[in-house]
Amino acid sequence: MFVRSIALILLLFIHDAFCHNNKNILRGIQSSLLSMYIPSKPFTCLDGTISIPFEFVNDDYCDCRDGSDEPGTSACPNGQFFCENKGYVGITIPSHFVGDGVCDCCDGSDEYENEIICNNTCFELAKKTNEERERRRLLHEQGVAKKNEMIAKAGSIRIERKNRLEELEEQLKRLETDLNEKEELKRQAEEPETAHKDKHQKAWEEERAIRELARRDEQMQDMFNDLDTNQDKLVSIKELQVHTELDNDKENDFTDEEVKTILGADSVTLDEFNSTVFEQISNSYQKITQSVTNEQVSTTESNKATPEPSTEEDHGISDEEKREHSVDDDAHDKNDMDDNLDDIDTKDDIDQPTSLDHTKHVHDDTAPDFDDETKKFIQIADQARNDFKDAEKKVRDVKKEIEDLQKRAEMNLGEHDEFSIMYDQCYDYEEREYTYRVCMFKSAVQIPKGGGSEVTIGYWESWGSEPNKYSVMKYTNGVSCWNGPSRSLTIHLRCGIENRAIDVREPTKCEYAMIFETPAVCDENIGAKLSHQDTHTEF
Amino acid sequence: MKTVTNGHLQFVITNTQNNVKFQLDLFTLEENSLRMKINELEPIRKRYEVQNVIVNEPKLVSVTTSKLDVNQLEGHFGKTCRFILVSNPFRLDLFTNENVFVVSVNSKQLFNFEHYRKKQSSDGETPLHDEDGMWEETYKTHTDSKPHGPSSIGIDINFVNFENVYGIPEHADSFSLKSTHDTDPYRLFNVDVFEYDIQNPMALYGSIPYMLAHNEQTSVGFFWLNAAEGWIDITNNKLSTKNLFSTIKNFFGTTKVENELPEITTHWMFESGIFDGFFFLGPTPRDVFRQYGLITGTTPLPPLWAIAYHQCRWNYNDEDDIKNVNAGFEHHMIPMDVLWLDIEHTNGKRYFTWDTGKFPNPEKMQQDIALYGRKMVTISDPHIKKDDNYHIYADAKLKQYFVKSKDGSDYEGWCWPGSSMWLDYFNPEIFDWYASRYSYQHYKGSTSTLFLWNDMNEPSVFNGPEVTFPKDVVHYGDLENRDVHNIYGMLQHMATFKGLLDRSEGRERPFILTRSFFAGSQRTAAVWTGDNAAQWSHLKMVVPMLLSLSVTGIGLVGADVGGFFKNPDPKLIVRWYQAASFQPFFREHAHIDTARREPWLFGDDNTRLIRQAIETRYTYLPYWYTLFYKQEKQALPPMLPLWAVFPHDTQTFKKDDSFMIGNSLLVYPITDADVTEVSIYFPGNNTIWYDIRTFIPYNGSETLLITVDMESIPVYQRGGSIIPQRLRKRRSSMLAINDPITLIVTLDKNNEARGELYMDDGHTYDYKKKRQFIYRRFLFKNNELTSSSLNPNGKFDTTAWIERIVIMGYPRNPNKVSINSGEQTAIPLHSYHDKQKVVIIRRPGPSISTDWTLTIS
Repeated sequence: MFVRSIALILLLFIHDAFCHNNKNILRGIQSSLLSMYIPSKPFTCLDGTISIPFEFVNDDYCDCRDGSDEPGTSACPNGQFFCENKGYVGITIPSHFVGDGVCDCCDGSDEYENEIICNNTCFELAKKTNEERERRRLLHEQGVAKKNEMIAKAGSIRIERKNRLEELEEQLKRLETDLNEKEELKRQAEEPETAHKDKHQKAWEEERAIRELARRDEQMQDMFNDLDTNQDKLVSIKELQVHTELDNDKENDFTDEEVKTILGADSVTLDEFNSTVFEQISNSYQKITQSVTNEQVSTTESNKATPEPSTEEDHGISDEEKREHSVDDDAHDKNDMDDNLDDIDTKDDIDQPTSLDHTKHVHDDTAPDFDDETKKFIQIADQARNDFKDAEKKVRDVKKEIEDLQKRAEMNLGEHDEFSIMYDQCYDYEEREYTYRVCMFKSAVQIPKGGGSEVTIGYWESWGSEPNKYSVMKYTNGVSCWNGPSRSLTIHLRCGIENRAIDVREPTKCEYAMIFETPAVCDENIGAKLSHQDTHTEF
Repeated sequence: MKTVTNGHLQFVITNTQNNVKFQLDLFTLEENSLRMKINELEPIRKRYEVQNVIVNEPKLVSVTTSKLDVNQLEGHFGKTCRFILVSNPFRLDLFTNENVFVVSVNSKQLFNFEHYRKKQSSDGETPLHDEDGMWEETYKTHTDSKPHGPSSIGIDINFVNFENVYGIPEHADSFSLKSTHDTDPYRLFNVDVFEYDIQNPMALYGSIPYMLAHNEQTSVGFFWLNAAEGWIDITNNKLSTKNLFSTIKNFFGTTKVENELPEITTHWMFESGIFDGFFFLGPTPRDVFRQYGLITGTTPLPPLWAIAYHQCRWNYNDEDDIKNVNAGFEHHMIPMDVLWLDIEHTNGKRYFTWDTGKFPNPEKMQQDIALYGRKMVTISDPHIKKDDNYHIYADAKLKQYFVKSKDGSDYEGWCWPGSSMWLDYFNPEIFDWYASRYSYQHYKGSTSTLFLWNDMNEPSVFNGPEVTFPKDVVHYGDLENRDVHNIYGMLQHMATFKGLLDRSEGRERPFILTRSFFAGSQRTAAVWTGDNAAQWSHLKMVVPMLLSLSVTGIGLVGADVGGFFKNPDPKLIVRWYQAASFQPFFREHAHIDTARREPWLFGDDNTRLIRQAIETRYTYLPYWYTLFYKQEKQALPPMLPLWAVFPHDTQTFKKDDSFMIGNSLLVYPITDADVTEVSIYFPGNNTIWYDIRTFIPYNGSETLLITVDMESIPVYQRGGSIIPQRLRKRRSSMLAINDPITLIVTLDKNNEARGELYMDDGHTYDYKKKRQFIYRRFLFKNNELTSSSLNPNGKFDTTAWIERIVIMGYPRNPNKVSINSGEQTAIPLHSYHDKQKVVIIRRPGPSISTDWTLTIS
């Protein structure tokens, strides 16, 4: 930047030729540019900006902003030095490499003034380069042969896939017909099954309703008898008033008025009690004689904060309540958990023993088994259901296979499908601490050798970007790193005879890089490219 | 009072509450310095006096004492210094320039000295002011057994007529220290802080108990040599002059006496040790730097490459990685001098070893890098992995070389390698043994181009109290960690320095980077500001932190470019490179969890900007190197606060958004995202500043809005200066060592300028031992630019020559320019740019080492 401004300023002031004697005035100039450097004429910087006396060329002072006046010295920060490199390839290096003590040209011409002597390595380098070129040519040739095999296999895979797809479509049709049949059979079998089960259920419910009624009546009579302390077959205000637990507002005393509101009269007979009073009080009612015990129980229970079923172990009443409830429910009903919880909640809200101690009288009545006929119908229906499920699964499996094959058909597996045979194949790379396994077009994992669980380092994402799209594979969205990004893997593909991972690194934490050799990226034009290079080589 | 020798007075002071007696020693020292020591007269246990810090026993100067009255003793020393010692209540007042009252000790009577005592006094007497925590303290799950009981010392040091104090690093806080009225005091206790907060007085990795004060008239310094945990409270006061003794009042003589003066009271407290205070009475900033440097030493000239660009990362994974990163710099043509290897290069964090799977051939790796003139640095932390198969551990274990727990067993803690132990560098034998581990024989795989990095040396102990040693850990000589904690890290890097010095038989200059430091660390190590973060606020904090370190003697300082934790966005990293390219130690470093951030990973445009910043650094290396030479000689830090160059410019006293490199470059790093203009204060009345890129001049004593873009690094060369530069590009600094020099002359209002250039081989001690150096003075005056030797004893063979001279601010196009070097006279070409008033002289040609005169007519 600075030097550029200086160059600009110098433009204003160029006169008397500066006498400068340099034997190697044309040092570092590319042969194609030699015509621009004519010792008898002023030199015009190659960017055309200024002209300078020719003596300023390679005089170890930078005059041109493009550095073109000093190809053979280190004076310009942006100049270009040309090494002839006889016996090898002529190359251009930054002119600030001139005279820095580092041998950059194989002919050592960049260090012409330096004490260190650079050996001329051009011949060796040419030999090595040729060998390397030959090795590459061979590798690519062999690789391309393999690659063609891979492409050919991809073709047969494609045909196989097509055939298989057709086969599967056929199969699917058949299976779907079968499925429809099985569904009809299932429906037919389930009709009588349902009818018989309903019948059985109805009978049982009726039976249970009768039992329930009897139970209620028993409870009602018990309660009436309990209340009718003077046994005059009437329950009076006085008799009911002692049951303060029935006082709804709890704010004042249980007044005559309030009691009368419940009874609807000064006293009630058994029938009246049955029809108007019992329902009102049955939930809150407590038997006087048991009050002490109940209080104790209530104390125990109020200490338990959570309505866990286990807390009821030491609470006989609740236990029974639960049992009774399960009886009430359909034995198969899986929703009873909710109901149970509701009940427990309710009980907790009240937080007092209730009239449910009457349930002591309840019989242990589970639903009876289905009769033999019903059982037979169930068995037939079960069979039909199973058959239907099997048919369903077959359809599903075939559909899945079709889907997979279609997905694979749509997958970009290389320009000529050359990666096709690698689809689903897994390759391992063994490192000191880990095995890295990449399953192509699926995912990649890191498996610790010392035990421990494997970690997904990426799922197939995409190919790289143009122009060498198919030389890079990206696997992303692996398991997140602590304090870092999601793990990811980039695979760099190189020509090789076999498909194999040859290196895995982690240049940045959790961002892995694999080098993978495969014939799929071997270049069929390598020979042409290498010989094209030859024409530019000056031997 | 007793006169021990002329310049050393001795007194006894008594605590009137408990009759405990103390000895007070007053030493009047050369260079306007005074030392005061206070220790128990008859301690039941010897109190620790810090070793390894003072370079030479300070030279005494004679003192003339007289009794002002029965209570006051006056002493004159040096040319213009004096003190008044008041006996009851004890107090010391200090004056510089005859009558300028600058420091008052214990005028707030906060002096408190907890003498060592027995836990239960045998006579049944209850210890005075006994409090909880005197004999045992608990912090989280850690218990400090405090076997010797309370031992703290506190005192107030008052800076009279000052409004700004500086120093006492390391804190991530403003350069001008803040009042601690509403915060904790500034704390000095070397600790490894995870993701440290900024704008905070909390302790960090290193400690220097040294404070400077500056005002329009004078600069002074106070250094308390104490390595225990310290706390410093700062209060801005008004000092009422009415309460001053009449004799003192007179000292304000010529200046107008007002009823109130500003004053900064600093209250210093250390947990143990003695009072050992040095007072540096200036009176100029340069004087104070030199005075402190005389006591604690200066930074010896670093190798040239150490002040070039360093590329680091936790971690470069293997030899291939190193090779590729080096190739990246080649490919992108970015100069670079040093590649670094963090902890992962070792075999399981066993220092002095290599992970041979990843680094099978470290010698070859270093040689390959050295082909480009480049060096490498490996890390070596002080924790030693507990593993009988690790030779360092096994040897040290056998020899009983580890720091001990209070019960006498080897202290064991956790760090990177897991269970670890720590070497006891306090034992000279262990110090030497550790140093010799760096010999080529013992450090397998090391070569002469490998240098060292000491990290985690506070020391960091993951499971220790506050992530460091417990205070009751015991070092050699029955030293409690409580007494010596803050110098542990320094001892490690001093031993490392010795190791590197010894391996070349004293020929090559070592380079060591340390995280933990103490006063004196500057002699053997560079320091960086530890684990900062990729945030603009952290970039902004770099200048105050580096200034605080610079003025307290640590010259080779830097911060991790880009921020250690987290990922910088491209703008932040570009700005960080630009800022750091003008800061002494210039290293990119990043946490292992961050994304790669080599300079070419932020897009072509940003690569170009980063390359430009690094290239700019390289062009100024001759100037930097000269400044580091002056640092060694004069203790003048290369990076300076504005007030060190413009001591009378009050506007500069609180500035920490900008700084000076030497006395010639003003740097205002851009530390905000998306700014298009910045407000820059140009210091100095009658001073002209030239933009180094556009050559546009600006007047001093003005705040100006300067338009900036992403290319901008606002840097200005002071009119009146001459800066040597190397404008040629090279891959690394050592490959440019013979390249020609461009002189940039910026004229002041009298059309004058001066500057210096120091040059040597860049890496050996031949500049000292064989006087192989060149030290030139350039002076522009009366239309003549002359080059003369500043030290004719120095001789150094170099092919370097004067390639170009740029003169800015020259009023007209010269008729003729001629240059005379001895018998020869040459007429170099020149150009003149009217608009910018710049003369450029093409190929003046003389060798750097000759005397010459350039005449413009």
